[in-house]
Amino acid sequence: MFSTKQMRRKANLWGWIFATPTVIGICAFTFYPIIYSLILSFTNYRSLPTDPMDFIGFKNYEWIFTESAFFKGLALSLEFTLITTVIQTVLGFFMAYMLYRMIPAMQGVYRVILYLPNILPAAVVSVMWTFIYEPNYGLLDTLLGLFNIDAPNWLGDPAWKMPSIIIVNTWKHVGLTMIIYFVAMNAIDKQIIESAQIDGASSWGILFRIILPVTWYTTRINVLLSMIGGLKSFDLFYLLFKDDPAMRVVGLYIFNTAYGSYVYCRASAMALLLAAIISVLSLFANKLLSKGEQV
Amino acid sequence: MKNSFLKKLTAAVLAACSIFAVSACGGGTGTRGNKVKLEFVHYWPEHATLLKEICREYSAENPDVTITPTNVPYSNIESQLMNMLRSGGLPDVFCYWSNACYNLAKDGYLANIDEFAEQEKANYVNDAFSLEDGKINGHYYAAPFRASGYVIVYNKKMFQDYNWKVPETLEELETLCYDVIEDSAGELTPLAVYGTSSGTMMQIKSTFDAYVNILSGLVKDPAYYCNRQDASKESGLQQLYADSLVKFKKWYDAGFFTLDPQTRDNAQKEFTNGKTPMILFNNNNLDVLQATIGEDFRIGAISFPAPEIVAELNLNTFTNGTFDSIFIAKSSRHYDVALDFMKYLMSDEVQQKWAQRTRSVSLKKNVVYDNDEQRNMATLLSQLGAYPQKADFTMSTDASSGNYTLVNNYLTNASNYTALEVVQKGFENTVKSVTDKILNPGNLQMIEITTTLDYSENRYTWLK
Repeated sequence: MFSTKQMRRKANLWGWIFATPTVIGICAFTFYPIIYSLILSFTNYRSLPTDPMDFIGFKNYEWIFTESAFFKGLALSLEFTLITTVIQTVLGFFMAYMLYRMIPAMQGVYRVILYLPNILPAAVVSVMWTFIYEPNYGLLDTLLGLFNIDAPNWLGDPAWKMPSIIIVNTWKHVGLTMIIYFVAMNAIDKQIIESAQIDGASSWGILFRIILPVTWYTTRINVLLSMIGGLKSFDLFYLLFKDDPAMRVVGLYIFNTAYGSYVYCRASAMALLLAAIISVLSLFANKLLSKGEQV
Repeated sequence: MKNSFLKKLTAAVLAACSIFAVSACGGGTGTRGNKVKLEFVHYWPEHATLLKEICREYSAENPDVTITPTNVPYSNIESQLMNMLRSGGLPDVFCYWSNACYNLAKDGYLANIDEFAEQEKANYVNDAFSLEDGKINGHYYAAPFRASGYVIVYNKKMFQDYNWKVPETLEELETLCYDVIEDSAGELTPLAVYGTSSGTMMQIKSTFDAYVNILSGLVKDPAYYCNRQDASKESGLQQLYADSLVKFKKWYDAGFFTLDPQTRDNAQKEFTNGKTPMILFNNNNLDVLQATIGEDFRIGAISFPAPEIVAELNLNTFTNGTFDSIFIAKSSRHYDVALDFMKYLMSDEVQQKWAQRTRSVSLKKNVVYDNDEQRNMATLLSQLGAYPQKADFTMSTDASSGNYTLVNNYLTNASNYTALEVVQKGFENTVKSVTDKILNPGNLQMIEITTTLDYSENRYTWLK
């Protein structure tokens, strides 16, 4: 006969055994890299096994604030984040509403079509859009040519570089924003909408006075996801602009420091600082948006 | 009871899997039985089949050796090698560039091949410039496999139709560019270049700078070799670099080249569609270009021509480029076998086969080409490596991209700096990198130029 205590202990033991692979995985692939990066950020370690690894205090952090182009990259990331977050959230909301108003059969088709870019790898997206943007022979150039409009050099002209990547980024990610809104809209009790319709509310009235406030929590999630994604953005910039200094967002700058100059210690310090900045900005945005929800 | 057993079994399997998953990271070269397995990494995916064939033939002659060739895209080779280094060591034999091997050699990751170099020296073309390019601190590390340089490829038919003369000097190239614009009423861009800020357009400027270095005599200064020459006391030299930048801008403003084509493909299309009669191109990509053009589209090639004065003074000319070379890792457990395989790759037989199949330019004297194009290319690239330079410091990406941005902004009037200020700022960036204790921990400093440089005006009239 087992006592309750023994049975609980046995159950706990089995619980730990089952959890062991996951715990090992999290420790090896999440905690260890974070702690190792933190340690690296206080050393002068570059990258190779023969490179020295001495403790140098806060020198890497000092370097970020005095000599690096970290904040220049951060400013570019913030500009990109701000614009994409606004466009993506607003566009995603309206697209979700359009989908919401469709008949179920059409919903299925459009949901897949509009979400498709989101599952495409960034490499595929960049190759595709490089063809679309290609000066002289690209799809956009040809289309605009039909109307006798000279297309700009989308990826080459300094004035068009940012708008071009914002278009690509929005095209790729707006599907996810739309789906999240769509799920939230479907969760709204149909009776509320019907009551409003009986009371004579217009479609716009329903949209802005019922759907928008009820899905405000979803807006918070979408804004936070877009914001964090925007600040961490790296792949599309890397694939579309390679080493173009004018488009070196903070993520790309960190990558270049790690894998261009091979200075891991500075790259680690910058990565940790960026993580801290993203956390602060996310908390701030979350706080701000939660006020809107209370209103 | 059965459930409980299954749970235990599942937990045990998962735990074992996680341990095996981690322990599976590794592997590599070794000896299985009496068979030696060599790892060979190259950056020629387009010639992977041929390399496999060469490796198979080597293994057929040496049944105890198996070679595993792995191809890595050209643009990723550096990061891949660094990753390999961090995770257990470099491959036994690998391809890399002679002019980029300094740090690997200095840090002791490369095996020296002095014996091979001394034996083979006489079999290399052009006073074995190419072998010398892989010589670090008195030891040889690189076996030059093929030349990789930039040449100007031109459209023969357009030249014939417009009655343009193929330029032999820089002055003639400049005149030709003006003629191209005038004869086509501005429809044609004389020279197609590609890449963004650090693309082939920068090679025009670096060629101008190279001739400043040659004509001033800087190339003979001991500091030039390690690229840490301190130009802060040489106002004359700074002014010459500024003049070179002004000339570069003059070419850009005149429309000799544009910054529009972003990729090599775009520039290539401009050329093949007849929108530009010349393109600055790597000799090893000529087969790709050849494959995209029709039979009636005939191309010729010239090296970027030198100013007239260079020939008058009987100096060597300059060609942008380097050597694709073969290296052996010091960590290789089979140095003798790796060396033997390297000798096989460098043998006349393999070099001949490689040159014939890939249309590359070999650096071995005994290789014979069966067509005029390759023979011409070998002549064009004969001065590659004539002025070897081995930067013994790491330039930060901030500094290098900062310098490109400075030039780019100057070119496009996006900054208010004068040419001299751009040169000085670029110089400051280099100094900052050299003296950065983390990037260059060996307490490196700039080295004073001890050679008396020649600033005679008649040497630089081509810059005006």
